[in-house]
Amino acid sequence: MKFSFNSFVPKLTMAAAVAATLAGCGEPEYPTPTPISSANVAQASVLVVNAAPGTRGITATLENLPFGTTIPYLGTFVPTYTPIQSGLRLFVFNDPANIPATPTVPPPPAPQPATTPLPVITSPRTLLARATYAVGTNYTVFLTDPPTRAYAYLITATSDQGGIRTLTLIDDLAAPTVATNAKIRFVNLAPTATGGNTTYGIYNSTTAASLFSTVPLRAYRALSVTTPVAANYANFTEVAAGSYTLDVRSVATAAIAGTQQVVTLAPGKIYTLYTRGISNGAANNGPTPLGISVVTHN
Amino acid sequence: MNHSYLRHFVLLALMLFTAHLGWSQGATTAAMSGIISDKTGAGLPGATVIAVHTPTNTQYVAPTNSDGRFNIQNMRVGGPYTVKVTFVGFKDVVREGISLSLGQNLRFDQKLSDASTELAEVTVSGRRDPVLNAGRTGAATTVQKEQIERLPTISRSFQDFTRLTPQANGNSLSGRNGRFNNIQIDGASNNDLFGLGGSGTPGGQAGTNPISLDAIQELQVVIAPYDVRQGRFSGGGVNAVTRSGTNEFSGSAFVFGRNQNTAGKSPTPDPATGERTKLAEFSDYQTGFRLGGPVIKDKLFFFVNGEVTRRTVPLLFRVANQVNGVNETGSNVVNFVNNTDLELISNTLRTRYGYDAGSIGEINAETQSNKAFLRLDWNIDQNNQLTLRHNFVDASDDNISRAQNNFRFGNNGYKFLSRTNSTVAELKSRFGSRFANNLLVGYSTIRDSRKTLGTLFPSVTIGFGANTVVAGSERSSTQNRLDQDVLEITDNFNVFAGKHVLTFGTNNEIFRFDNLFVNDAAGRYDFPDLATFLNGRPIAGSANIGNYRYRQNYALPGGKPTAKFGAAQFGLYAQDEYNLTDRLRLTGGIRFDLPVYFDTPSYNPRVDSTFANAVETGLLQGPAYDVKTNRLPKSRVQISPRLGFNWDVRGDQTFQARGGVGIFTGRPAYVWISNQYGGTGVDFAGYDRTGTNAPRLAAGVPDSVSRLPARASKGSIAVTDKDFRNPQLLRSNIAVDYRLPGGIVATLEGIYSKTLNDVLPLDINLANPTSTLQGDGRPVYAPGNNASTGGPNRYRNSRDFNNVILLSNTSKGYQYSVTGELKKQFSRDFFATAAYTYGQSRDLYSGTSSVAVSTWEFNTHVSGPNNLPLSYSNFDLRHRVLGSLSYRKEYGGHFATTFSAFYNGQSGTPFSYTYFGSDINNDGGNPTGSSNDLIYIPRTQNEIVLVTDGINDRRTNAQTWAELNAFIENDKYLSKNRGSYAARNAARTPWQHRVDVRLMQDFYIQTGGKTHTFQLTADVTNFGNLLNNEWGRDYFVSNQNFGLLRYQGLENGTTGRPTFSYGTGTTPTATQAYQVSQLASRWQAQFGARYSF
Repeated sequence: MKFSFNSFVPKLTMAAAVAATLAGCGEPEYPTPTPISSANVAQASVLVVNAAPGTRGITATLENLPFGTTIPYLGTFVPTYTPIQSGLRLFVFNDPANIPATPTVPPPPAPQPATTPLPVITSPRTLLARATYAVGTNYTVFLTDPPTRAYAYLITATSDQGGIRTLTLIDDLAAPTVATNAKIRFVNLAPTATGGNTTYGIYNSTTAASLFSTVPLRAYRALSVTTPVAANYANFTEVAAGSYTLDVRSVATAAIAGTQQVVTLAPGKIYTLYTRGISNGAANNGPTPLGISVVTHN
Repeated sequence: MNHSYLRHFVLLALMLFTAHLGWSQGATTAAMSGIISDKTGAGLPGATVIAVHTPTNTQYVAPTNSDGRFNIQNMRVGGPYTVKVTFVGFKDVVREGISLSLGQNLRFDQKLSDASTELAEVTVSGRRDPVLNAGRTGAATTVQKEQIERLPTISRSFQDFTRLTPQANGNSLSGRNGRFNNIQIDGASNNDLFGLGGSGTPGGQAGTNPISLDAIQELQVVIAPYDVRQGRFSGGGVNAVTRSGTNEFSGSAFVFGRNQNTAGKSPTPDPATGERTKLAEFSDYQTGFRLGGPVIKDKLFFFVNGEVTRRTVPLLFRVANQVNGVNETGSNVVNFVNNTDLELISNTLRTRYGYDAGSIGEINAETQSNKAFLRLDWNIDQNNQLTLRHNFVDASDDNISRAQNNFRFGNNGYKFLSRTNSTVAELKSRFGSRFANNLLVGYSTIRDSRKTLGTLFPSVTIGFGANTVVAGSERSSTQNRLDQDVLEITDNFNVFAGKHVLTFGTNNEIFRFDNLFVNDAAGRYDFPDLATFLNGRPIAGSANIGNYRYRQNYALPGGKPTAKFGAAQFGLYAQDEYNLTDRLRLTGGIRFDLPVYFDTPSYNPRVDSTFANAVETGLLQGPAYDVKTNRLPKSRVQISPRLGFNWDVRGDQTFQARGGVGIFTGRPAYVWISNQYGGTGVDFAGYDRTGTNAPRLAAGVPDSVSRLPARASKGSIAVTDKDFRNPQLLRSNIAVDYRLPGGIVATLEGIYSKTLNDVLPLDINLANPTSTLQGDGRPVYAPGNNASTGGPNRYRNSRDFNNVILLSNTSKGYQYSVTGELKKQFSRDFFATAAYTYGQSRDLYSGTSSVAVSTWEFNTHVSGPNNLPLSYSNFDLRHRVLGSLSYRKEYGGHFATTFSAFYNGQSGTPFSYTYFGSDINNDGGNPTGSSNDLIYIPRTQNEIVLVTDGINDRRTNAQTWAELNAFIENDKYLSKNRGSYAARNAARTPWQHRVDVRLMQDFYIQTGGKTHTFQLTADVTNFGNLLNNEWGRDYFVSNQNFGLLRYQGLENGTTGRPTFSYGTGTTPTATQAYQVSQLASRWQAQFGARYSF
């Protein structure tokens, strides 16, 4: 068989190169993506209210950027709703007084070995609140509880770290069905001095009728550190607009001293009424007395 | 890519070169053939060729036929041979010093001179070239005895020598999973048929080699052998033959050892201390001997070999002592618990339950193996040789681990036991000058099991916050055993007919498997805290009472407690090796393989009824599948035709072209078949209770039968497509070999393989996707759980089972490689090779998992795990450079120094970029860690909704994007593919370079006609790291999957666009996906001493 080396090797080399090129240039066949074009178009609205008795002035960041100004007790960071990027968002709150107390360790069941002493917190704890804020939805975030509220025993990655915490509520801002009505709802945010739970309701002082029967403190949601889903507390009740004389009661027959006040509800407006402060006995005359506050949502 | 171009090229190439060589031999022998001619070149009929294997004086005699041709089959591998050619009227010619490589058919052409013109006998010495030889197979690498003896190795495994194959990539050959290889020793299967170990050989899980390296004579790696006798692989074949005795007694005794002081420090500093660390304490030694010699001179020879390996590794972590009431700390200290707590647990288990939990102190984990090998070779007569050999391996490996967040009592470990007995008998016969036969019968038993330590007791896990203390019998080991029996019968019959050599043969493997595996078979208790354990049952009113849990799995009466089944592969073949001209040899053959399964699994009627009909409306849409749990694949003949050529272009063996095309049919990993026996959904039940519903801890193993439920527990199902075919591919190669000056041979070789049938797992219970992911476009499966069944909405039948994994086939996939190689053949003192290979490998599934659900759920994808696109294989090679050399210098009459080195440079390993930590498409696959969902690579921050990673993440979204963007820019693949989905295995770790060296110093004396040699050796792997800490880095990405972006849910919880975080914001953000291997990046040395005679 006649063979030409000079022609064979270049042919073979070229053929191998062509094969390698053809085989190597193809890309895997994945579908064409349809990515988003703007990350910031979807927004929720948030109103943050400081209902934490004993705080000295809370500062906040949202996604680690400054959010509003320093908020005093019973104030709001920004007077009205603030639009934020929807999705899982992180609020960080700081208050110089937010130093949780050390809890009392329950006696271990025998024969468990003696436990080591629990740590004492000496510097202010940062409150971290990470929750999902859905697009087009309004939220009210209440800061609650005394800053000295004890942290929980046993300490785990998800246990209650004590001090102030958040309660995030979804707000239904649909107008009242009757134009002369207002929409209201109630949250009990009034703890004991140590952060304990007392049930309170709001009553009509004149008729002694229950406007909102008593509810326990913050019964609706999990701890802020566990990325809670906001309590769906969007259901408002419609009431006739007008001025109401209201007070706070633990039992229906006994108004708590110093809690009576007149609340004016305008037609078409939407309100959250919340009990706040600490009742320090019959006089209710402490620095943050028990009382009723109102958030106006529109 | 347009594959038609490639196909056209292959067809064109085949038209040009038409065929390929198939002239190789079986897996245990060599051959010799050629033409005896007069000085004019005319063939001399009736000349006699006598080849003598001089060490054993074994003679092979063949007369030439009417064309002057002769052909001797079934010859011993090795040598030296002396070949004498005689013919009346012509001067005898004697050639000496010829060696035959495994699988080689040496071409021996000889011209004889007229006796009247020359008076003296002509003697020619020298060895023949196994590369430039008509007997060389298509793509094959032969590793000769000298290379095995001289090249560096620490593990002394033959995998350290198969890496000399340019197309190898670890255990992977030609871009395929090493599981698809066929490893044979002395012609008998020596595979990890189940595919559970990493080495591909029996005993791999116990950390042992399948045979002592000292028993290996030679090995060969075949990628494209067109000889139909070679089969049972869709990757590559590895054939090893063992040493045999000779007329001279020879032997050797050796010891090799190393410990923590013969290795370098870690390549990078320990983050805790900031300092590079030494290896933890260990010792490792291997010792053994070999001896061969005659039982009856020239007739019967023996070879015996024994080897012992011992590796001892103290457990790294110890328990904290209390110092001034506080647990001490340290990088090697378990400090969430102290000795006082552990002794309390130990005493409680002993006094209350009568169970000894074992040591809380230091434990030495030992890995041991004992190997024995005996071989007898009997020259029955001139035409018949019988080989009988037995290989025995007994190995064990202690398995117990402790970590800073996990403490195990001593008796919570287990010992992995593996015992292999493998017997092979081979009868090589020649009948006159026209017929030869080779009969091989092999029988192997492999017994793998786990042995728990101490008395049998339920597994007890006690929580200490997020940390755990574990006591009792190891929960996955109380019923865990695999028995394998393999019978192999092979017979090859050769007929020499003029220019044709016809081969007819059969190759049959019959397997018997018995696999027992039941998790938590002896019961498993979870105590949420120490107090609950000390109470022995949940504490009433405790907040974590629900975390007290008891589980037990057990076989149902009447069910099949083990996957016990028989299987077989029967093979028949015929082949014609045809000398078309003196320069061109063609091989054409056809092989028929028939896989058979002998036993059926249990029947679960709920499976076939669920999938009998297609569902075309509603949420549960999906096609119909004809599946039954008690039905295995039909036995179908798989046909493998092959055609090859070898063209000696100039007729002087200085330049040859070779190539061919053929179909290769392999085996599946039998664990995939076994999955169907254990995954019927009717054989096993589980008991699982929490809180006060769970039983209290009691002495002894709970009686499972007393808790029998009415039906089996809900689990995952494994079925096999009734038309499933064993992995099969079409492979073609083209090569040229060219002799350069200085005895160097250059080879250029291209190999292309097209998948015909590959393994593809599907979850047929997964309904079709119900929507697409907003802001991405990929399909998404139904979220949430079905309220009535409690199962996920994504399942077509969420009441009766979870995943239903169907083992099916795909024809998608291909591999190719182009290799250039320079080889300086073995001379007495020196050899060297250098090779460069570029290869690509693409598939849908690389066959990397064993458990049925795992085979499916880890497959990274965009369009759903049942809709995998063709992408890069886990074994995609790309660039590889290898070099080896060895030089031996003798001096002073009693000394010799040998230096050998092996270099491997490789363009990293492939890996995928995925989402981390959650299931973005609700497919249920691998929802934790690095998921199976490939990422979209954002071009700008506007293409990704970023959020913080957690409550402690103090980065703004802009900062997070800056870090992510820097990562993308830093990665060659990501930066070039923004705006696309990241393809599976498209990213690669950096180039890796590694040099291993061996230095041998011989002292020898000659006395009594023998050379006695005392040899000292030093092997250093990753020698570059010894010179410079920055060199020799080995990189890896765990599971070849890096979860880059952390999926943080949809914007609105259950609707909206996906949100992501990158990094944690609390620990330094990774700047690359790969890690530096802290072990493989160090230099490691082993020292040895050997006496040989």
